[in-house]
Amino acid sequence: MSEPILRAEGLEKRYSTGRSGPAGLRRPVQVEAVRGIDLEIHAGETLALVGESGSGKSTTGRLLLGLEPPSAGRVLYRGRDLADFDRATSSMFRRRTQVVFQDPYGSLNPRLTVGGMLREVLTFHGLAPEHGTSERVAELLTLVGLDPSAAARYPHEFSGGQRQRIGIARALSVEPELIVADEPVSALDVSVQAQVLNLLADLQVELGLTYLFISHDLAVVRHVADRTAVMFEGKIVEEGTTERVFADPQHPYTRELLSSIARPRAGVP
Amino acid sequence: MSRQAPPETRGGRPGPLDIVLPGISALLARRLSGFLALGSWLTLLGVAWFRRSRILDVLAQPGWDGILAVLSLVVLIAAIWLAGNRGRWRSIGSLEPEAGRSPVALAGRRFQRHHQAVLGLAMLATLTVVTLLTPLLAPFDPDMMNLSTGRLLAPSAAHWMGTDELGRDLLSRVLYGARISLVIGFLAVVIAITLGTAIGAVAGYAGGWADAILMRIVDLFLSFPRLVLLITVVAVFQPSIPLIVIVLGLTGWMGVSRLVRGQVLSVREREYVQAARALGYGPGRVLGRHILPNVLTPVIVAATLGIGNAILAEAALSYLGLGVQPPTASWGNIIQSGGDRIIDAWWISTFPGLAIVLTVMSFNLVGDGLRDALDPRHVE
Amino acid sequence: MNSTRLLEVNDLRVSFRTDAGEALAVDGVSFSVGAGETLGIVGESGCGKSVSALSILGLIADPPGRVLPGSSVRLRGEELLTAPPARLRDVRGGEVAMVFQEPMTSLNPVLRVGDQVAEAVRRHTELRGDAVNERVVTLLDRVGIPDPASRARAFPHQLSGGMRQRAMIAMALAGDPELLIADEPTTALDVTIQARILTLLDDLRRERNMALVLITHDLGVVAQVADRVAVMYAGRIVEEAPSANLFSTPAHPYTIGLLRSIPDPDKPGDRLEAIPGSVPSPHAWPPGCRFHPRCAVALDRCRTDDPSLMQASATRAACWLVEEDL
Repeated sequence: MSEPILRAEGLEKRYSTGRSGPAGLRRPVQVEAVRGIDLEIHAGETLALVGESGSGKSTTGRLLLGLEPPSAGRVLYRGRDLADFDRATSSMFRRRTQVVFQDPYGSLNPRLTVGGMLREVLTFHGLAPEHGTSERVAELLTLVGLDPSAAARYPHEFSGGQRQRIGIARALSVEPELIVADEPVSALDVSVQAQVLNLLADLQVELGLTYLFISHDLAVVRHVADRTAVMFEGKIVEEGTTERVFADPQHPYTRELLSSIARPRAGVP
Repeated sequence: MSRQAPPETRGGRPGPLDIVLPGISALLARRLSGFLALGSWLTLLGVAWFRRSRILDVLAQPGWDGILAVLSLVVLIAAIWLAGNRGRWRSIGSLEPEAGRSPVALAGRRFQRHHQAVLGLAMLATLTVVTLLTPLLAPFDPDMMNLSTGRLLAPSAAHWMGTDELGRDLLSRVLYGARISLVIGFLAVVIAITLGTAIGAVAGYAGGWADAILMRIVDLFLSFPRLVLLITVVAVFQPSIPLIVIVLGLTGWMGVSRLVRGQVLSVREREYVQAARALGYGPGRVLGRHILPNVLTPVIVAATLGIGNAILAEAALSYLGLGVQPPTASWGNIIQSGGDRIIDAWWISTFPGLAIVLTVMSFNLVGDGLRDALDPRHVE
Repeated sequence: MNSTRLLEVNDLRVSFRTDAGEALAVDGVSFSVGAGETLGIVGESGCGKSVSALSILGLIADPPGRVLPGSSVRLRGEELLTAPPARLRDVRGGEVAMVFQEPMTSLNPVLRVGDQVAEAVRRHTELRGDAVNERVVTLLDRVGIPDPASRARAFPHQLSGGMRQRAMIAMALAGDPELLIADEPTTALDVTIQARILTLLDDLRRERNMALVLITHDLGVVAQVADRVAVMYAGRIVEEAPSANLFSTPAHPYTIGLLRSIPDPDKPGDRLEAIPGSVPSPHAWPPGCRFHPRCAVALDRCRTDDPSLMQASATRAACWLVEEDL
């Protein structure tokens, strides 16, 4: 078994939200979003993190990306602790790992054109090739199935599915090896979902990407993931190959989750 | 639903008339911009014509003031002409006329639909132009006294706003006073906005200790009564325009900082900001390029309204004798000098008072229009 | 077939004024619901399903929206679109109730949940005083809220999403409606809760012989609960059929495409069959059949002639292929 790209050991994350009690006896209230997670992601695979709202799956994603420091435990990138990273290593880590968000309406800066945003990334990381950033921008847009003329337009001129593609283009612009996709298709219509999922699958093959796929939608997860981890109230309650987890769920929560998927009765000509 | 034809081909047939009279085809298409363009252009040409002797005088004896005014006139006439012909240039170059789609352009179009806001903007534009062209427009030297025959004359054909107790033409004094008031108002607001935005942004983004400390400083400053502080400072030091600007600026930034802080707090959690951080951008870039542009909307509105406030504050100071000192004219001190004579020489206080009212009102109208036009609901 | 169905919507057209001009969000929608029946209206964003539902109760804000003349919405034969405002207010929450998607924003955050239900009870029944409180507790209990007496005193933010939605349903039931319109009632909820809410709605329907119009983008939801399904695309109904028929033998290419693009949890595959292209904007509907640019089996005729709903056994579909097949 090769060294995992990302590994979480005993991850915990607590937030304090406000104070409870009368003014004299205020105590901070702690919310435990993540309560001890161990996780490994291997090169080339798609690991799904499944759970309902409040399960801590999005927080875990952010912790793995180093966007927030854990309250306890550590995140290891290729064996090295994120907390030990100096500026240069941090910068490298940022290029190797990227994120795609759920909300196509909040994930793009409304004041920047698509091209402007992509150019900023390329220039910041010094990724502009000799023949110029415009070419690379056009390349990226074509890669995600958009016309290069999209570069001159603003986010509000695009549909949800198209914005999601732009978000993917942004993630790809730094040529990462791992992408954390946090509910990437949940806010999209069914027919657009399929397009974006296909795109993600194609990109994985073409560019050799590794995915951490966070979702609450089991049908989607079944379709895309090699391995699945089920989260409930901050802990992983079940983990294994997707096939096994779906065919033979061990934990009662997993069973409940699986049984509540509403299935359209099959049968298509 | 067909797409609307580009404005320059709608309504009027563009022809040689367009070159001669900028904006004529827009006017024929019943668009307000056509009326404004053509009207203002013709007015400026009229000014140039009727004040031609004055212009020649200025050119003969150049002073900074006069040169600036003449230059402004020329530039304005040229600019309006070019702007009015923009459609023609575009079609000559056969570029697709693009109705701007940036959030700013969209806001601009929404702004145009508020007639009151456009009126306010027109009034402000007029005021600005008048201020720039004052040396050409003022019929008399504002400091020229006429103690023998000219004292306290009522408004007449010779003196449109009458004269004051020293025989000075009021209209010229009001015109020159406009510059003072506007400059003070504008600079004070620039200081306030800059300071307020910086502090609010840092507080909102950094959070924690920095936020707490900065907000306590804001509270501290808020507890100073602005006018009392102004009076005290000015009484201790000599009143001068820079001093007034600085004090107004330093006492007007607190509201902005709270506003900015609140906005930054909410924008900070948006996903595109997280994405920017995930791309490795440092806090400076994230704040400057991704957060602030999306936060400026209420700031711009506050700035517009703030200029009105600053003008009022300056007028109050000058009225108390602690602002701009005579003989320099400012709306506030003109009102002050006419205060005793409000019965028999009503014009001295009334006209500058009206000027203040109209100016502050236009800033408020524009501010309201901006608030509606820049409503973030529309952008996202 | 009943001579007068409970709800009959005929040729509904709703237009909206936008920055880019006026556009039809709903363009000639007709459907009917009988007493005690569940109709599912399915479609993706922008197809006009929510607008159709809101028009039934006259909830479209005018401006910018406008229900165009020629449209008809009849409740037991009574025309609602031209009803006087007082009558409409009685109907809303009385004979016809509505439940929305986002319970957090549909409930007033500064009022206790019980008070909000009580308000509905007072408006639509003759009960007063203590009887109102009793009814509130009964309703909250019926919708499955545990410990209803004390939960009634809670504020919306103190309840979970599922509980809030149940509270909304309780409010809707206060007037003992004959028709309940549910606009995406489970979209904002977790999967495990979704199933329970749908079961609740179904039980309530059976108990009270209440008709249910369920609007959703989720075909799975509709499969669970609906007797009949109407599929909407670009402001029109493109297929209407009994639920079983729709899923086993879908007729319209859009329906087929939708069903194919849903990942099946029991059968993982390599690629999903996505419908190419995207939903057209109401300002730029394609000529002929609105779906034809994205249709894999479009005929020449589809480019120019706009099909209306055609009958094929128990299914009706707006597609020339249906006509050809006959």
